[in-house]
Amino acid sequence: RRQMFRGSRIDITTKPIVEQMRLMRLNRLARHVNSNYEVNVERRDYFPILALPKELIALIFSFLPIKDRLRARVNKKLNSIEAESKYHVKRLIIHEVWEVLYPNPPSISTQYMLLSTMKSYSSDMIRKITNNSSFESLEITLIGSDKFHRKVCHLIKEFKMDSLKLDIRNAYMKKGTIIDSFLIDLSESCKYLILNDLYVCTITAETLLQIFMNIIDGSTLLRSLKCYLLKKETVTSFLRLYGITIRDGVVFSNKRIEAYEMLPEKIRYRFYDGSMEIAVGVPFAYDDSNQRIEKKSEDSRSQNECSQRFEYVNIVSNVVPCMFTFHCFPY
Amino acid sequence: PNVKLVTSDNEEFVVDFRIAKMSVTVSRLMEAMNMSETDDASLLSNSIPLPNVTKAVMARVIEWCEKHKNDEPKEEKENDKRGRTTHVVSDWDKEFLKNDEFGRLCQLMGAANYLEIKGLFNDISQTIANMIHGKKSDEIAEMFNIHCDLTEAEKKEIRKKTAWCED
Repeated sequence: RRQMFRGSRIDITTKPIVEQMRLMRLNRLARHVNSNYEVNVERRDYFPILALPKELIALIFSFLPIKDRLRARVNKKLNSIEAESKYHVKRLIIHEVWEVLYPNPPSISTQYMLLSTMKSYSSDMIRKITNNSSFESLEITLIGSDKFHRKVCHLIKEFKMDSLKLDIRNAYMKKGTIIDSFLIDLSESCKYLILNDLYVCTITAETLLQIFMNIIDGSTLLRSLKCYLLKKETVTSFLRLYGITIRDGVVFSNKRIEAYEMLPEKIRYRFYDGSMEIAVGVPFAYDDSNQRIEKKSEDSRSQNECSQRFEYVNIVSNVVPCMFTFHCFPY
Repeated sequence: PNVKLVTSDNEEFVVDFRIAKMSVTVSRLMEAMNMSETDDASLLSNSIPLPNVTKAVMARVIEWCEKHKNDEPKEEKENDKRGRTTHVVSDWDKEFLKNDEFGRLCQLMGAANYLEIKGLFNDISQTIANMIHGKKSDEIAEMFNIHCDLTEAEKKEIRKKTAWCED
């Protein structure tokens, strides 16, 4: 097979002058395509990774999960390459768990970063990731509420990401973190935003309307906002501010919008005004969510049960805006 | 139709036009020299200089290209949920790369990069990445015969930032 390629030796100097000049020009061109480098031909029993130019090492690193990259910083050159190279990560899940059951989670399918509540971490590592990675999809779940978690929340808006799903489990932490200004900051740093369980948060309808308007006029990066378990009052007053009222299951509006009432599965109402869609609905398990809402306002158990029943009646006849979405078309 | 490629050590390789086309660099150079598949005269009178590739490496590259010349062009999967560049090295490629000792593999990688033959380049990168994957820092250093030239302060800094991946 090899014989095919064995050509005769040619002498470049025998070529005509014009040809030679063209060759020279091409040689120079070829050199520009990539920097020259040399590697010793001597036999080695290891791969001479340090002999490769920086760009190639960075490319090899791009085939590795973050953990392996970080471990590979064993000398100055590799350390600086790791620190300088930019990574694009399709999906990263930063998940704080009570117990790390699988020390080596399925790192091939998705990049996982499991944090244990039993350990303490330095926010430097999060800063490191924000500095040289961009994400298509980022999911963050935090349980604790100490200095590290506050730092992480503070750093979230500096991540370069398309889509963010944020779940802060600690109620106090959530209440203190997910506030109007935080939401506005996030609306400027990602395209798709999903926030979980916002029933304790004091996000105002005015802020929601402002973000909504910003999406319409394109002054913000955000294209879609999805809030789970947002307070009912917040959503009704957002709809009122926008110009939609729902009374006894009947939609009133002086805007040119299309309104659809859906079966109470996930989405209860859908409004569409030509470019934006607003979806208001019940969460996957609305009974549970109502309990949560009621627990906040009611103290005694009997009252709680009573109001639960009342809420349940409301589900049938009125809006239960527990999941709240708006997004721009094309989605 | 055949194309002539000249390596740094002045060795001429005559390869099929389709094989030559597999290298983005070569196909770009052919364009610059107005060489086309239908114009035999342009192919006969020109040769492509490749000053960054030696004859030994070139032979290996062509061997790889011969095997892969009928491959379907790979589509980049948009909905690939994997969080990093991934590339499946075929069994033939694994065998193929096994034959190269590490010094040669390194040169081959350089050539694949310079010639812009993505498939071959990804094969080698993935092979080396596989070697690193799952290893501890000191194992990586040992494997690549890397002498640690980090200062204590730098080491401490690194340890601080990588605490979460050392379970």
